[in-house]
Amino acid sequence: MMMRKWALTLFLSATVLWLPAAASGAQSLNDPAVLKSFQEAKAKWQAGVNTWNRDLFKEARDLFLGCLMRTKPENVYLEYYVALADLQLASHAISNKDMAECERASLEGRQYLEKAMALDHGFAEAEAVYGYLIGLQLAVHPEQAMILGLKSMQHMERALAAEPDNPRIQFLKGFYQRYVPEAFGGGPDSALPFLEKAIALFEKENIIDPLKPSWGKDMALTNAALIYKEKKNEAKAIELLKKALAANPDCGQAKAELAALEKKEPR
Amino acid sequence: MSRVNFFFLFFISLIGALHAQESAWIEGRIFDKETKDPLPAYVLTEDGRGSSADANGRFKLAVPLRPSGKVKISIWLIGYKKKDIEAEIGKSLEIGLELEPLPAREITVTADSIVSDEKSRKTVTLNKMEVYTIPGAAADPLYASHVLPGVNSPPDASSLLIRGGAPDEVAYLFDGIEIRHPFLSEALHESYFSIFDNQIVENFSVATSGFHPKYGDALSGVMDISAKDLVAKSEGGLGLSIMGINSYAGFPIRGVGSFVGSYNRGYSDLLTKLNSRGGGHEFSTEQAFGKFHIRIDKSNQLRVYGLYDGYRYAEGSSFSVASKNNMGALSWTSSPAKNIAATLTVSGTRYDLTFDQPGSIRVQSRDDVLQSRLDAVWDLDRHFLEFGADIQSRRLETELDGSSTNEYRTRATRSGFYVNDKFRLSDRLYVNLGCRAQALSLQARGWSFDPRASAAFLLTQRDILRLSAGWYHQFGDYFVLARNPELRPKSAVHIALSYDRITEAMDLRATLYDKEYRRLFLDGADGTVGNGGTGYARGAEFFIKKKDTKYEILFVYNFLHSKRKENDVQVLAPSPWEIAHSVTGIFTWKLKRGSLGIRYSTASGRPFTPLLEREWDSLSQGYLPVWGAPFSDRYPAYQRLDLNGSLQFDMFKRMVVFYFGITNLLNNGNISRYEYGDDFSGRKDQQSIFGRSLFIGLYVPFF
Repeated sequence: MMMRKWALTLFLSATVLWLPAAASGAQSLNDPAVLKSFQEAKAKWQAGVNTWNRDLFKEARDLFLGCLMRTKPENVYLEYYVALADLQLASHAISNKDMAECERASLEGRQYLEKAMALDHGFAEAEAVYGYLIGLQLAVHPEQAMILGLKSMQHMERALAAEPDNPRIQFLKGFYQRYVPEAFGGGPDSALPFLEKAIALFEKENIIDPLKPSWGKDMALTNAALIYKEKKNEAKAIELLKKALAANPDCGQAKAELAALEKKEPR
Repeated sequence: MSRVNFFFLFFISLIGALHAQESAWIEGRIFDKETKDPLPAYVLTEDGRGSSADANGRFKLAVPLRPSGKVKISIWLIGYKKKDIEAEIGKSLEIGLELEPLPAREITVTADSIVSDEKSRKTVTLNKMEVYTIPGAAADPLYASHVLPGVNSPPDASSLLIRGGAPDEVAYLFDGIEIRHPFLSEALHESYFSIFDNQIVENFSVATSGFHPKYGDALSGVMDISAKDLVAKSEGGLGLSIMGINSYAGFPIRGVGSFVGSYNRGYSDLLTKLNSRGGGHEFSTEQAFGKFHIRIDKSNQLRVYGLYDGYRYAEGSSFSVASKNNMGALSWTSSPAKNIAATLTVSGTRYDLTFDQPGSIRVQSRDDVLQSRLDAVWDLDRHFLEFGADIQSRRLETELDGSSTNEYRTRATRSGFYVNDKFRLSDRLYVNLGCRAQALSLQARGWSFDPRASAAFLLTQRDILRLSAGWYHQFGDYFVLARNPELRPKSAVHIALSYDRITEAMDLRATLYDKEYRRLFLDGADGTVGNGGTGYARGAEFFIKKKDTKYEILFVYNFLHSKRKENDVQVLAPSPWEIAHSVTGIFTWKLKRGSLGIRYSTASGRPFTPLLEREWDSLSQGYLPVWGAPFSDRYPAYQRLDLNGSLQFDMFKRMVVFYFGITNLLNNGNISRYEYGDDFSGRKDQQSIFGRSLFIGLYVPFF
């Protein structure tokens, strides 16, 4: 009798402990409202990239944040996406010479990624974005070029070493490398192998899970095309831009570059 | 009322309600509850609407109108605790957020630890680049550490005098391996330059009090250096200076891991010629380091590495000293789970020293150390558990060839284990509790236990108060222990209280400390050695580093009062390592493509025992000295002005760095010690080796 009472108490305690956990688990990404909001956020982020629109990045970030706040346990991908939106906001801020916003977005983005990386030590893509965000801070603190540049490269390289077959890491490295001064080992010639590797890896990539990052193919193709354009290999540039538009017909930069090149070289 | 009118009115009221619902807003300001700084936090309503506040913390969000006039909202920003409130529609909200407590691993709890890893923004940092930019630091982590609070050195030597402690009271670790001879030039009186090449240093930390229980056999401090590890892309550099060449290379090895290595060679010829300081002195140095990092799989890594340092100094054919330091190690790290990691390190080091004064004396000594240690960490967010064990076997040999040959040999095995828990007691209070046990085979008294405790209280996000207390043991000279097995380890109790203010623009630290020595070795009347020695070191320190986009200022002041009764000093007398006041000021201009730094250091002289007179001794047919009270006089104050700078430029699409340094610009003759002739008739000043010296070089990094 005593044993039964004890077992019943244990069962009830377990139920009491389990119930709040189960209730919070209901607010996962499986929640249709959160999933819908997440898909809307991804679409807005992509639209922001296509049209280089700050407001869309901000809207996307807000939606990602909303999903993050409604999801338990913490979802590392949502943290990654908030940081990805921050990366675009920081880049946009640099083009608008808004260094305060660039600093805010870079620092906040880094915090989300630190959290994601602490939860998932093998999340190499998060580390690549992290390295890129440190690189963006160079625009705000040019006097810390040596320290920030070194740190940025270290993270980028660690990500590359951990997942050399991740196309987005290769793309981020290539994109970053393009803007590193040649004296520091950067420049278009140094960037191109990374971008070409990224393109080859994107061809093989097949992401089904909507949560997992799948962006970047059009960006890698467009950026490689821009380097070929600089190298006066316009035919190759046009070929790559067409591939970029096949991957993402709304890619604004690819459209504009292709139009400009075709105007110059009518076929 | 007709049916049509009813539906019309219903429709109108519905439109009105919908309109009202759309035009209902909540607005307000979000700020840090403590600092009152605005926060760009995110506001989420219960129905999933959300918006971020702007840079001023202001937000405005459309909400559905509720009969209660209230709406539930959640407010959150990364790093802060989520806040759920019921907001009154139409009222301007003032919302303060509280910081989310940091995981235990991110807080430096022990008082007086300086780290180079800037990831931890909650303690004072000295980054790796500063080792290069601090004037007079000679790109050497040990010399750079002299600007830290609580750290001094004998004039211009590289050894560390931490809070009145002797140089041998500091332990040096390199990638977890204890290095017994960390100096490139380890001479009788002073040691110069370290064997650690800054090109391959990844991080370093200096603990002046409250150090971790994983470190044993040290009474005053610990310097822990880690070498570069995994590199994913080829990098390197080649340098040429008036001292010699230096080189570094790091590259990935496909499918295996990576390699980092460096090789440096230095000669005195050009340096002495350029600075007109020939005088028949010549020296040469050689350093080599290599480390393979092998990734067995995602959670297992193997490191194989080796270090070699060679040094030779000669004064014509009358005197020479040569030393060699060899180290080989193997380390295996395994992470069976995300929050658990363990590293097993096995290493062997050999140090050889030859001191030769032809026709007079020749000393050859060897120190072989075989050691193994296991360190494990278990990160539980609120708790950060560390535990491990180490064993060290050491064989010492010294051979003296003079009028007769004397040989001294001893060997001993030291064992230790430790456990440490760093945990968060509340949102603001972090505590560190640890204990170390260690024993040495040469001592008959068994194990000694060192309890260590510290606490860090986050007064605000930027202000931290730390208190550390700990008991430390050091075994001392193995030759002395071999002759006196009943000797117990020397001990010291540290208590330190420090206040840190860490902001983006400034690192500030103020410290008060007390170090009480017990059981120091004291010579007995019958030639034996006992544990009757005592001593203390009490003082205060102030450190400030101010960072700006165009400049950086560093200022350090140390005050120390220390007395010791030790060795042949039978009364409590001023400690020979007491530097009562020392001040260092550094100003560095950050130029667009380089930097220019100036440093001024001054320190009161260390105590020495004065010679009062000499007496003729008819028995030995020579003069004998009559010494004054032990350490009752002081050397003159030390001062030095250093200048350095660097300039980057591009050559053949490659970055080239030109650097220069002028050491002791005012050519102050700082005195290291006094020497007396055989008949004690006169005193000779032995000046520091650093007169005014110019040093120039070029470095080409490869990426």
